[in-house]
Amino acid sequence: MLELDSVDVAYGSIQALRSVSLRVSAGELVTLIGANGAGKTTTIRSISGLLRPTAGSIRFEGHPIHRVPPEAIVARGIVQVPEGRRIFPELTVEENLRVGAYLVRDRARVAQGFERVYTLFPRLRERRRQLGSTLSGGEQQMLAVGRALMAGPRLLLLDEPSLGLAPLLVEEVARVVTELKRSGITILLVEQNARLALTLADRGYVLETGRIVLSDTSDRLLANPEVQRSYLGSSRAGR
Amino acid sequence: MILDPLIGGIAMGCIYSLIALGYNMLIRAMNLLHFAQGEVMMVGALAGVTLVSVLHIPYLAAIPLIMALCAALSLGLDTFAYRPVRRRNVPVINLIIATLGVSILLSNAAILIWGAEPIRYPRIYGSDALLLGPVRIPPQFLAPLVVGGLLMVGLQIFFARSLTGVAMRAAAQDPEAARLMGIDIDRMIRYTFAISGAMGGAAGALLGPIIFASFNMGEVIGIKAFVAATLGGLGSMPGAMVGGILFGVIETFGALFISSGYKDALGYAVMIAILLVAPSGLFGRRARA
Ligand SMILES: Nc1ncnc2c1ncn2[C@@H]1O[C@H](COP(=O)(O)OP(=O)(O)OP(=O)(O)O)[C@@H](O)[C@H]1O
Ligand SMILES: [Mg+2]
Repeated sequence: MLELDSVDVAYGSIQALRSVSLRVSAGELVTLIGANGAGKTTTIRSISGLLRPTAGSIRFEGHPIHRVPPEAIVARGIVQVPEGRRIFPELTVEENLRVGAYLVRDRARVAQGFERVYTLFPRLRERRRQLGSTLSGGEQQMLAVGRALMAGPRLLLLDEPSLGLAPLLVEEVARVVTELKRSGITILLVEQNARLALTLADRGYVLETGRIVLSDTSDRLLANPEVQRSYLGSSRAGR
Repeated sequence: MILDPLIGGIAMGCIYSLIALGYNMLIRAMNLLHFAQGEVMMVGALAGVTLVSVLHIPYLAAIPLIMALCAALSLGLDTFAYRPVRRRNVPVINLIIATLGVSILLSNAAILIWGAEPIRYPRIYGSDALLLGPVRIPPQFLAPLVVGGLLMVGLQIFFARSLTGVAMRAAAQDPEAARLMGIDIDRMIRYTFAISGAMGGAAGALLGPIIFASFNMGEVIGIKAFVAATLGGLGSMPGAMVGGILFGVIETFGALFISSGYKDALGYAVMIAILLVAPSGLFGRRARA
């Protein structure tokens, strides 16, 4: 469904990704793990069209998308939940969700989207008239995920959804991700919390300073001594 | 009667509010201080004279035409002057200087088209004031109050209810996140220019019959409206509306109680005072870069 082939991305003279290749098949939940500054967000932003690769190609359902602007990428069904939630602080919860469905022209589908999100996150229904800025961190994360769902994604890109959340809320994130996968959405999950990510995902890639250094099924990555040492140990990288 | 100057002040204030809305929409959307906002209003006022006196279009019917014209003008300024500058990713200060250049250009173009002499609108209003109980509304203030009020209410509804309005607010708050929702930021910016132009045009059409229309009216009125926008809070929509009306009232009472000679200076004094007390204005929520 999604294929990155030898993608290079640079910020000015700083090379952030070097020849990154990865693949996500329809229905899969794939994770991309790595330490602080490894290039996870850069990868996600390139897929969404916010960054242009300097070399290599990104394909979605066979079509190259690495020169397509972000708006058009959303229209194709790739929707991102950005790092740090990035909800609209001065829009209400309901308005945030409505804007998530900006490209959905069919009113009935928008209404279904609201129902789906409010069923998944009853808390958001209670808070629907509140401004985004008044939500707690966990609620903001729910809103960010809900807003992305409103677009009706076929491929969902999640950038560190567990970041900064209390353990109980991390479990909630895990529940939601599992539920989304079960509903048929293909997911690329970026996480520093490698244990969580590998427990949820079918397969994983390990990114180190802009390169993919490992790729395997989640079970095997969990069992890999190197992964255990670098990403699953008690002294988790960067945390 | 204290009510008469109050009505006059509110009416002038509605006009300032419309221009201030244009400033604040652009500040909110792209941190742009659009110096040519007053000149867009001026073109509206002068075009109004042409429509009403030369083409004999009824005044009320001319207002939407003037708004459309100024929306197109503002959009044209963006497309042909600001967008090429923006494309180069220059600091926003360069863009602001470009708007200053455009304001001079518009004034000069206005001299070429309408001449340098102030022009009087044909007699539009009768002399009978509208009496609402103790409130006496002189005819020339009726249109600013009614049309200005309706436009502001309409704009509020647009931003609160329509998908495009909500998307414009989202784009102003976090452009990148908005793009990730499929919102075309460039298009939202074009809408912002068009709407702020339309508001400027309406202000010109409403102001023309009250003062003389002339090529340089945009400067003084534009600065006053900017003071009003500052008073309300730069970048804030409610701030623009309240700030405009408040400024109109302060100015009118200042002229009444102090001296009309100091009328213009009073506005600035008030601004300085308010900025000392509440630097981000009445509705300014946060300082913006
Ligand atoms: N706008 C930018 N300009 C310059 N360098 C950048 C920029 N954004 C990221 N980088 C650099 O690119 C590299 C990859 O950053 P990226 O944000 O993709 O990492 P990450 O894996 O998402 O890290 P984190 O876990 O902290 O979110 C880092 O070295 C970072 O310093
Ligand atoms: Mg990151």
